[in-house]
Amino acid sequence: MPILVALFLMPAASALGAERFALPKFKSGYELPPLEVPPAASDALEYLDVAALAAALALASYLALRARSRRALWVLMAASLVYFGFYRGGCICSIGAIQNVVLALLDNGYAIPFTAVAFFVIPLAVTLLFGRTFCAAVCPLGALQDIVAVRPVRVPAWLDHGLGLLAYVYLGAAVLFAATGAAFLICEYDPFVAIFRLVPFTRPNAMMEAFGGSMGMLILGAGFVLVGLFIARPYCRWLCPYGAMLRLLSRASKWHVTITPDECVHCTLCEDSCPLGAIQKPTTDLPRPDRLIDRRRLALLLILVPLLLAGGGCFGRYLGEPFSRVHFTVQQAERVRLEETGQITGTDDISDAFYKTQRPREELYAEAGAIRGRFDIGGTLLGVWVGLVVAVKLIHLSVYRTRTDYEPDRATCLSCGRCFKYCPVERKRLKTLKGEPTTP
Amino acid sequence: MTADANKPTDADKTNDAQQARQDELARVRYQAAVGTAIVAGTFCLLVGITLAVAHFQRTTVGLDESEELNNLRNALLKVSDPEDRKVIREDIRRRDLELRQGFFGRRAFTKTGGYLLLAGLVVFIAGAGLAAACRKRLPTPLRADQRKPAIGAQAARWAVTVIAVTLVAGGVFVVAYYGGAPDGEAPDGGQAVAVKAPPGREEIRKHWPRFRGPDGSGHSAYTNIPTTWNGKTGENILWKTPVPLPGENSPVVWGKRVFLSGATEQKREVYCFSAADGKLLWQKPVSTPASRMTDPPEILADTGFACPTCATDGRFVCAIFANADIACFDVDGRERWVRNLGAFKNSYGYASSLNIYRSTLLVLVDQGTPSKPLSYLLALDLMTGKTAWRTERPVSSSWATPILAHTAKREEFITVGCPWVIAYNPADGKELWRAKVLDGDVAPSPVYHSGTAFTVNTGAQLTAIPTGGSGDITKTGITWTAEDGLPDIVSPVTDGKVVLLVTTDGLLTCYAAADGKLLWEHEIDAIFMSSPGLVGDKFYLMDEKGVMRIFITAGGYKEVAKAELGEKSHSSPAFLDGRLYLHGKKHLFCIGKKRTSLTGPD
Repeated sequence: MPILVALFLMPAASALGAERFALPKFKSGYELPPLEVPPAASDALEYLDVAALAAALALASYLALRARSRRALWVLMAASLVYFGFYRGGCICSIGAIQNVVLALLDNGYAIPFTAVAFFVIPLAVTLLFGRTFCAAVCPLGALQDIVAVRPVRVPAWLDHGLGLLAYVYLGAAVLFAATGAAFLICEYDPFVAIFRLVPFTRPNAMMEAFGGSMGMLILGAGFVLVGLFIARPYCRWLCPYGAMLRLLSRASKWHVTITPDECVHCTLCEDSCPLGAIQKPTTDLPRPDRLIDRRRLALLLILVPLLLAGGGCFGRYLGEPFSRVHFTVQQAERVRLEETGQITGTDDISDAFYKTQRPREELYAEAGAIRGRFDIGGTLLGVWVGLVVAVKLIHLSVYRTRTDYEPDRATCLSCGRCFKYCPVERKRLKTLKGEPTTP
Repeated sequence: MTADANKPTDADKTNDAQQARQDELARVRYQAAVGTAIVAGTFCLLVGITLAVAHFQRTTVGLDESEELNNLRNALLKVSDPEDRKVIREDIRRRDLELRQGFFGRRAFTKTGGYLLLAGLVVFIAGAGLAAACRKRLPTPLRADQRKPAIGAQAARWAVTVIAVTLVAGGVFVVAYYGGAPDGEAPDGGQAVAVKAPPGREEIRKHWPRFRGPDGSGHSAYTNIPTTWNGKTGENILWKTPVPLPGENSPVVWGKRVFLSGATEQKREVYCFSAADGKLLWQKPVSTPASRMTDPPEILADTGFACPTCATDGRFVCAIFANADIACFDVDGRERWVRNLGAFKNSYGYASSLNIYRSTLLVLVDQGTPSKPLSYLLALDLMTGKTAWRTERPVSSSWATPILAHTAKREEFITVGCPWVIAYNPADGKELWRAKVLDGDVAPSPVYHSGTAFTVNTGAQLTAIPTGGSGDITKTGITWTAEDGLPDIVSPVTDGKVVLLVTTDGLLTCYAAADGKLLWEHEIDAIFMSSPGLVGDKFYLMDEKGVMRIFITAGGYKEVAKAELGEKSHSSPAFLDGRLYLHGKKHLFCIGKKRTSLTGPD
């Protein structure tokens, strides 16, 4: 808690605008227009963002758990998409805030913005109370995918479980690269940010950024949208690193959305209602699997756990070296080294940037070596993490659980409310609320 | 039950009619939604394809991609006629404008297309969503035999395993494709050799890396230098090799390599000779676009186009010429970089020699007049030739070479110019101290011994300045001065006991180093351009005709030996282990006993 308080209190570094290079002088007498430094955005906007996030989360939780209104959730989702997505350009977002927080924890020189901390912490706290209502109607990435899911098909549960691993791996990789100061992977490969910035409400040049600077990202985003027409929320389910964290917390949430407002009547109507495959069926209607086989399998998997951790760690260490090349300093050191050894003639922008610093090469090489060392450790930890995720997932799939009713899987259920209208108990409740007659 | 009972009532008919209308409305709504989705989808597809085709098959190119523009730029560099240059410049401007217009036109096209695509997608999704909603029906309850098992746990475990294995395969690919030796260590299969670290002071002392040796004061680290030779008879001449182009610079030696430079108005070259047999190992031209475009500088014949002595650190050799071309090669002759510093604005021709300090090349460019000095001290990165730092200097043109003094508490790079002697930190170019003790056209270089720097120039004075000071020490930090026998070209030499001055016309003046007391004077009937050297207690002084006088100074001028090169020379000697290298007007000489062997790296 003291760390969180400290993070909240950290001031964001201010940036100053200035010409990087001396301005040319023209013989024709042409005078360059003076440099205009736009005024800094008001701090009030940051607080507005946080207030909007908190209000949207509160409203989403109310609409999902109390009002049980899919329509109202959809409207809130669209509003979140417009504000957090198109208006704010997808930044700041809770998913990317993971990296800010990780970097702030490991780099004393990094001043994390207050909004980044708030966007990271608040949805986690709300998830602990009400489940993934953030995903339901607040996250702009989820909202965009939800709205375009016009004809979602069910993905087989086994495939859903397998692909679900990727989000944890992505989370681990994002933490590694942020912790080493190499890159903010989540932001660099955010598939939807290019789409959000197509609409330049506040950024006249954003259109150019989207099309000129990141055509690849736009294509990636368009690909996700196209896939999202038929597979509901593919990024949320299989890639979102923040979603991976929310899954873990949502399992322990104090309250969570339910399919039925009352007792489940086992009508099976909701069975295929969830395009995310987040409805768990009762197991009591089916024969119990052979316990002896289950136990043997579980014992084998428990023995495998340390092997998976050790194997993952060893393999991850090998990955540290190539991963380190994402870091600018390592790239710079390698380029300068190639030039120094005469394997490349001429310089480029990266090496020129170093030469202008007038620092000795040895210092650059030493710095790059230290970064490689951090990647060695980070790669090992990433490997251990992936091994752990695989082991836990396999064990989770091997433990038999008794379930008597249809209920949402707390981890994967996004509280979107699609299943509500399929439940006859819910329909009866709604009719009662409207004063319509109900048949027994 | 009668037949009438089965007849539909009016209410039933009304209900049926309402239902029919609703069904018709739903059908129309569905068809409209599907139609909208199809039209919008087709529109999106067309816009998307158009954008993609425009992106990948664009006919316009960026400013930095235009071959035509690059050709025009190159042509501008080669052409010197003002009218032709004007025409090319106009072409460049026109093409530049066209490219910029094309670039922004493309952006506007893309922007419009993006908006259309976005609008089309919104309409498509709305239509498709509505159509899907129209077709959506609530399910009916399943019978027990229709129900499917909860999840296929076994299949899910296999899926997890397959994904895990795929991740490992991806990792293996990453390691194989992006892994490898860090820092670019021999990615060409091990042929590339990493540049060694700069040599230490002790290593440098074993060689002759710059003008007047490791410390720039003409001191030899060896005492076994020959005192007799004869260029005409071949006595003690180990080898002599013709030098292709003329140059007044002195040889620098590192291990088994001897470096020189030579130049004419049109050509500039750097040479590497084998110290073993004098064989020319490599000969490299130096040329820059600037030097090709500009007229050769006006110089004195005695100075020549290759007066500055090269500098080496055993890894690289650097040379500078009168036309401001400066180049760096590795010791095997591979060019590292070459650049032009801009035409020097000094009369007589550029003469200051180079100095390598760690990984920088220090270049003194003293130019301009006392009323308008344009001088600076430049540090170039040895690997790339990029400017590491530059310090402006308040002095006019000079022709002397700075020295690097290792004083008790720090390293000082001592420069002389008119009117200031200024010491700098060689690492960053920050000024340490200065003294206003010089005047005129300063050509003799400073010397240093045991905490004292000695500077001299005709028209000014011989000055003993203790190093280690700070700020302007003109009035507070001068040990002594003297005014007799001041040279205008030849640099002084000191052994710590005496300071010897030699004027061009042959007057030798010896002062006590401690207090500046005039000890003796001696006249020699010869012209001197070459700066003397010191081997043990013996002074080596060569006149313009190549006659070397070897003498001691204790108790007056006492000649020990005299040797003839047999060729005119302006260069200063380079002393190595048992050998002496001299650069004559036409040849490079190696003097030594036959039995001496070479030491040091190849």
